Amino acid sequence: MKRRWAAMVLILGLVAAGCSPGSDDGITSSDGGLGDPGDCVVVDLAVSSEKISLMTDLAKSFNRSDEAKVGGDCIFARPQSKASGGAATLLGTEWDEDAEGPRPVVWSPASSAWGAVLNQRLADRGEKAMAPESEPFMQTPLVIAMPKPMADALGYPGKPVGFADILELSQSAEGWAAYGHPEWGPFRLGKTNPNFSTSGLSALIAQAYAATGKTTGLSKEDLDNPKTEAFAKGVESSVVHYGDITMTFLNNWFRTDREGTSLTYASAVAVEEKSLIDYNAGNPDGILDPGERPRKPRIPLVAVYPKEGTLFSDNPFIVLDAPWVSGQERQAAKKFEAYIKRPANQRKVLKFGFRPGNPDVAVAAPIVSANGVDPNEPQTLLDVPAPPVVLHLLDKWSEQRKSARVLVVLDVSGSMKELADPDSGETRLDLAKKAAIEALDQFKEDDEVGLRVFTTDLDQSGATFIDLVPIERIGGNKEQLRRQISEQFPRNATPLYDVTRESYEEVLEGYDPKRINAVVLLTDGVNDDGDSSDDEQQLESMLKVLREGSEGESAKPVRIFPIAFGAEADLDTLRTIAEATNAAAYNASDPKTITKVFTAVVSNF
Amino acid sequence: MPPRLAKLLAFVVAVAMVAGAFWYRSRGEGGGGGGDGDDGAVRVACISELAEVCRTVLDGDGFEVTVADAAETAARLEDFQGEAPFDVWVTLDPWPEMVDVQRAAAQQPGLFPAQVPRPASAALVTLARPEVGTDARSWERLASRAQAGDNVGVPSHETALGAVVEGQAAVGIEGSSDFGSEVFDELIPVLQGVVDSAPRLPSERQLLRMVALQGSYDAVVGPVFLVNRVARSAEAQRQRLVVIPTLPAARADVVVARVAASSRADQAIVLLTGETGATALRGQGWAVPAGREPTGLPDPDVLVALREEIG
Repeated sequence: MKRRWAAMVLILGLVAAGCSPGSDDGITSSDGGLGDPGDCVVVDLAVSSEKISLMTDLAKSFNRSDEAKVGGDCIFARPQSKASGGAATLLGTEWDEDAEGPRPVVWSPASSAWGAVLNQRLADRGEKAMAPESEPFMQTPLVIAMPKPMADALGYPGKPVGFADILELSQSAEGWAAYGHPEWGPFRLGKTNPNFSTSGLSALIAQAYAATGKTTGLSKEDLDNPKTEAFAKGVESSVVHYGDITMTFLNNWFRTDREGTSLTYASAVAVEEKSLIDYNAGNPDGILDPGERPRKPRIPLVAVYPKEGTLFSDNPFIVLDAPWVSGQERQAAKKFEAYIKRPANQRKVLKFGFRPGNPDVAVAAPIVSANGVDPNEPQTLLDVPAPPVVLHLLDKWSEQRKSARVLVVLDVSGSMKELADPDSGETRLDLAKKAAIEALDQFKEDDEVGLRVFTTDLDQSGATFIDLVPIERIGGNKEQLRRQISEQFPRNATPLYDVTRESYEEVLEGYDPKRINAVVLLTDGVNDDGDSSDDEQQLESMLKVLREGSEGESAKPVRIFPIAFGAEADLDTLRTIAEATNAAAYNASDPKTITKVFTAVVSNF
Repeated sequence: MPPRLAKLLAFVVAVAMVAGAFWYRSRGEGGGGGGDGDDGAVRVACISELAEVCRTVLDGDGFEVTVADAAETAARLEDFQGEAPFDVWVTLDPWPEMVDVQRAAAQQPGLFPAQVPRPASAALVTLARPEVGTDARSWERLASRAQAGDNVGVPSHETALGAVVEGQAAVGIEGSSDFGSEVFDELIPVLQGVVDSAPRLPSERQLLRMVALQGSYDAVVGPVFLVNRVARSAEAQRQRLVVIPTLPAARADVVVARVAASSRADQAIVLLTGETGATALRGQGWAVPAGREPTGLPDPDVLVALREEIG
């Protein structure tokens, strides 16, 4: 169990450090324009990604202030973005400063639950705790985000809504028709993978409490209760797909909102209140690029505070009890903590959509009903269970989550022979094979996985792909998948569009409504089938098919998750393909990150 | 008197008192303790709730201040072999007597005098959500609400205030402070329901969390100055939290207790019970001097038994 947990958290760390759908954010930070610390006492902070902009902003103003002094020396606060679970792993094992950036003096994960997990892991090894208890300096509750018309249909907020209602909706054969809206189809839930995401973990805990009727003291026995297990399986059955970050859902929702199809993409997604505020402001990923002007969505989201209770992401400011933290750094960190708790800076926290930790600053705009949130909620707060219970919950989830039916489509074109790692001498294909084989272990026994490879002229008839392993339960075909993947070698050109469409249709043909149906497409190039004259037409035609299949109340959604592998891969086109199926594209432009990226992709299942 | 002059005078008086205390110590006339002639630092144990007061008042080389929760210090005082680990214990009433109850049970001599100085006190009141409202006046009603799912904050079991609030709750539920363990069969399950209804943390943390993490606590019992401080915050006012005096009235009294007739204790006792101590205690919000009426808590032996039961 410990190994498994360690592996899960390690995965989280690796993923967070290396990839996000279609972007590089989540990687250890840049300096965010902070500049050179000079001879100042540097306070390195590892902070969760959703607050990196805020913390960088606060650090800049602190570093310029008269308060940034300790014992006659100046203080230089330097935040870097680190996913909470990833940082927990790195702090509990080895923090490689070359790869991960400087070891932090302060750690601010999204939730103090991660601090408890770190301490538990250290205690298991007989080592002393590193994360002392600390007070939150800002917080945001987990909510169930629903498009307003759907919340209205359920009678919310007049009628309280919770996970029990989600279970009922998910098991109703009528779906939204029972509420007078057959055009919305079945109830579709979006949840992130709890091994990767704090909001996913919080949602899982809240769901377990809802099943037991408790608000505190969740136990392993509760989780093993058949009633709790049935509840969990019921809720999971309505999941659209999982994923490593909530932004995937919010970006898809936002895009489909523009197209007028958001109500059939997802009915509800478990997110943090802050993210919902960002979405309704027209900024679904919470980051405004220079010059970007947010446009509000046509259909806003409403924050449903589950009637059974919820959890806060409480953003503790943890000055680490670590051997590398000096007394002076500790004092300097405390100065920065005091600075960010000052009312003026807590008002800045509020501006970013978080609830202030200092009660001298009252909750106010943007946390107002006009933005879809309720400052007077939540009324019931759930306790974070003891770390061993959390680990048990994650183990149970890995069995209870919705099963997947996935076709892995691997590019074996000639360009895959290029050297990818000069140190090891491995080619792109070597790295891709290794990553794909490692990712197989993340599937559960009941998942169905198949393997297709593609390039041009695979046989005398000019075949563009071969199905090496049919889509079957991985419990029975994992060895075959491993063997077939490992035997691949680079060959000819890249008939990307043709194979993408064929793969989509293959999965659609065997569509199983009880599973997440998906294609994982790894490619290092652009479409090259020997005839470039019809490329544009091919792409448009394929996108039309993909979009039509993903829209409407009776859609049979087959998601395509492309991985752009290497610098020459056509990331923009792959992103368009992913969006056409309401999925996400992943960027592995540095081939050495492919293992992390593959792991992130498989987190969707 | 102009305020500036008043401040200056207060400062001069405070300096004079500290100097006086050191002079007193240097004469080696401990008084009341047997005069063992040892001129090492005065070892002062101080409960976490009074850490800042102790550090402010006893800020000098002559004092060795150890801050710990009351239960931790009590355990050391109950079990030590040889020399007592402290000369003075700054805590809340009736912790010294509770230690002596435990020592008597272990056939050890008592450590504390019958009368100890009480320089300050604070009434216990409740910060409550509007919907709890006047139910917070009665421990019986708070217990019913806890049974129905409300979260009632009682300070950590390990803290000095924890035992005081547990005692007040027991008196409130029982309807009298004059009871013994014969009522525990009925009392303990109700009391346990209250203390288990919400996370037990130090009083100030409970109050701050109640405001910042909405939904975490429906009512939190604590000393009036802490409760008022939090209740005045902008967010507490937005949430319309109310301060309710919980009945029966009970009080937390600060006590400065000489340990095992230590002769070295005097200078600390003089400072803590004199104007320097009073200034520091007032600065924290404590009422100086302590009230004269009984605190309204059960007898120390009953509190010890209660603490053992609810664990």
